[in-house]
Amino acid sequence: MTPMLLIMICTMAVSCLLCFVCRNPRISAVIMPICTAAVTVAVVAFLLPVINGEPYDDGMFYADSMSALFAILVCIVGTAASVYSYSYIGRELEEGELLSRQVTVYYTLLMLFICIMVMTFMVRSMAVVWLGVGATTLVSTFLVGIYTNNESNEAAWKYIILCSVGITIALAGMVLVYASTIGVIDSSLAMNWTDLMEHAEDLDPNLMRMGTALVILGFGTKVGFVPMHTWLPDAHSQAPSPISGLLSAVLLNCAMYGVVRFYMVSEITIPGFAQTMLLAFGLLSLAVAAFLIVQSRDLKRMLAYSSIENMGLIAIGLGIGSPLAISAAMMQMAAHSLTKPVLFFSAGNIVQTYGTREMARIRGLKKAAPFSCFTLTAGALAIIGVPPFMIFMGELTLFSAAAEAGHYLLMAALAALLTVVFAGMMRNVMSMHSGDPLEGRKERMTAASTLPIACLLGLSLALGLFFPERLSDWLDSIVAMFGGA
Amino acid sequence: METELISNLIDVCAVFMLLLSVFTMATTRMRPLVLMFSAQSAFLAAMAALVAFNSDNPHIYIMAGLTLVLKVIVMPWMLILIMRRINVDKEVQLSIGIPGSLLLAGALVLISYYVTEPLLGSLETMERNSLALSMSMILLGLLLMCTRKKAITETIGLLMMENGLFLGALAISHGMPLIVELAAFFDVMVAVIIIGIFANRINRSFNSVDTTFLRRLKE
Repeated sequence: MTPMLLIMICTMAVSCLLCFVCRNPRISAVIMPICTAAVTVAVVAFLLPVINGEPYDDGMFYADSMSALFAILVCIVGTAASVYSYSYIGRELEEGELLSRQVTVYYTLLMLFICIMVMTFMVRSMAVVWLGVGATTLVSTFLVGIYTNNESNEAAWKYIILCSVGITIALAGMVLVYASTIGVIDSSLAMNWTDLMEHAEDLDPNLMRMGTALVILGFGTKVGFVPMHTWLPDAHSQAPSPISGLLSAVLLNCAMYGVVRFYMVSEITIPGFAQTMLLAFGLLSLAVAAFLIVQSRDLKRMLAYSSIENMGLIAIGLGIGSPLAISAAMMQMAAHSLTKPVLFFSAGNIVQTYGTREMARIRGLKKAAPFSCFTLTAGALAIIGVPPFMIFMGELTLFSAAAEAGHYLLMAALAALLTVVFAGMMRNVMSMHSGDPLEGRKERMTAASTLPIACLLGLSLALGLFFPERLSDWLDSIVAMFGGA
Repeated sequence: METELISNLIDVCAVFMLLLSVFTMATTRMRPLVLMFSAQSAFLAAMAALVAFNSDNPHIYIMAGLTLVLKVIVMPWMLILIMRRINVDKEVQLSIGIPGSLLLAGALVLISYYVTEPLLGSLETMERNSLALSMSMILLGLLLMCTRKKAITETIGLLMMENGLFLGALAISHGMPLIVELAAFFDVMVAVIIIGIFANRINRSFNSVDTTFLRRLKE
């Protein structure tokens, strides 16, 4: 274990402890962003050599350029969410929606949630990755149900029940994958991802096929693939907005990470099987989510459906499976993670200003909440893939990958469905602009409620305009891992 | 001779576990449902002990012990405690009648035999017959979750799925590495505690744990 790793783990432990010990909500609100910033610095310092092309490999811990991408996205979004919490949770406390006891719980769990997600990407054994994904559900259930009213209890209940079933099915799949390694890999190493990749060609194809199917189905429940997506819009709409942003932008990635790792192994053992499955799930998710976006009435539910749509696009990228398509999927994932919190945080400001999530009752946004109106609209344009934002790059790469692979029907379907998403999202967002707001509705603008949004939006725009050489090298090194590391 | 006896005993345990899963489909009362889960876990523990004795894998004894303590005693006791505390009705509410549920259960068992058949050739352990049983138990657990309306029955369905999963792990690979099993136990344990907390909250807000009340969040 290198000193950097030790420092990183210690920073995480100290941060969680600080948030737990501090009983004053005002002080925890200040401690929290400092802690997440410290964790971010420690994680980046640990991962720098990894990004430069030297995978970290040491006993239980393992990090390569793909885990680095996932972990750093968690850190960026986590820091933004903890800064935004200062304003959002502060206001909930002021208005008596949350008690100070609940706020302490909130900050402790938020810190724990971020740390668990980061650590999930840094382990070698797929069993520990599974445990990490399971633990994120358990921790975030309380964050989803923090308001303890009927709706949020319902959302939290559906969330934990469905995701527990999903995680159980994923474990059943892992049992079968483990069975396929008997006689090939020593049993104490069998769930290690590196060993699985090394011996992938010798694994038993029958067991592997069934195992992969169950793993994708199980983790897919948590990714939010249709038809297992029913928990997702409930949990995303009922959670406090900083949490909605985190759930949508990085928690779904965590489950996707599990899918991707098994996808890589199974593509060597049984080429094409995982691809077909992901392509089917991706298209179904995209199609269903597109129409749900059009008919949604609740602002945060609409954003949740858009997450399903984006996860569908990532799955389609993996499903096409050419190097270009995989790089499109990774780019789409990063872009979605950076853009979605902008939307959820802006929606949080708007919901706090208007006291409702129903889009029909939000009117005159331009007058009442000029900043959030601007960022929500810009974020909506970014998420539906308007140039020059980063998602546009991802979707463009996806299209060229589909063309390169000769999937012209798929291209047509993608174009049609993305047009539906475009129209639905724009209609719903634009309809909130006009009209007159009720008297006395005025957005409260503070540094904590605007800075995280502006920074993430700026990042999404900047990366769309200039994609640095180093980042594309990073992306290439991830793509190179697919199909035989 | 002795190995043959043990192998037969293992099959008996697995069959009883499946039978108990099928029985839950025909129960309309809450307490027997919890007891059935407890009995099923007892068979799982016995089977784990037999496999451990037979295959000389001492770590499976740990697994048997944990199953005995947690799933046969602690979790059913917790479930009964929760039920007493929130005054749940004694009756299970069904969305499909008992004959229908049993028919579906039969169909699911057939499907699992069909699905697992191609896998059998790849397995060498003598407990491989249990694979289809394990798959059926996972599916029956899901069926229980889908067709029963109480929060507690959903939990029991989840736990029965987990039992099926552990049976499968024992059957096809003499148990996963110990760390995986401990992780899984930990996950289930915490999940049940959290589910208990939320069942309590749902009960407070709707004055019932009937999950049909959970229909507010929709488009």
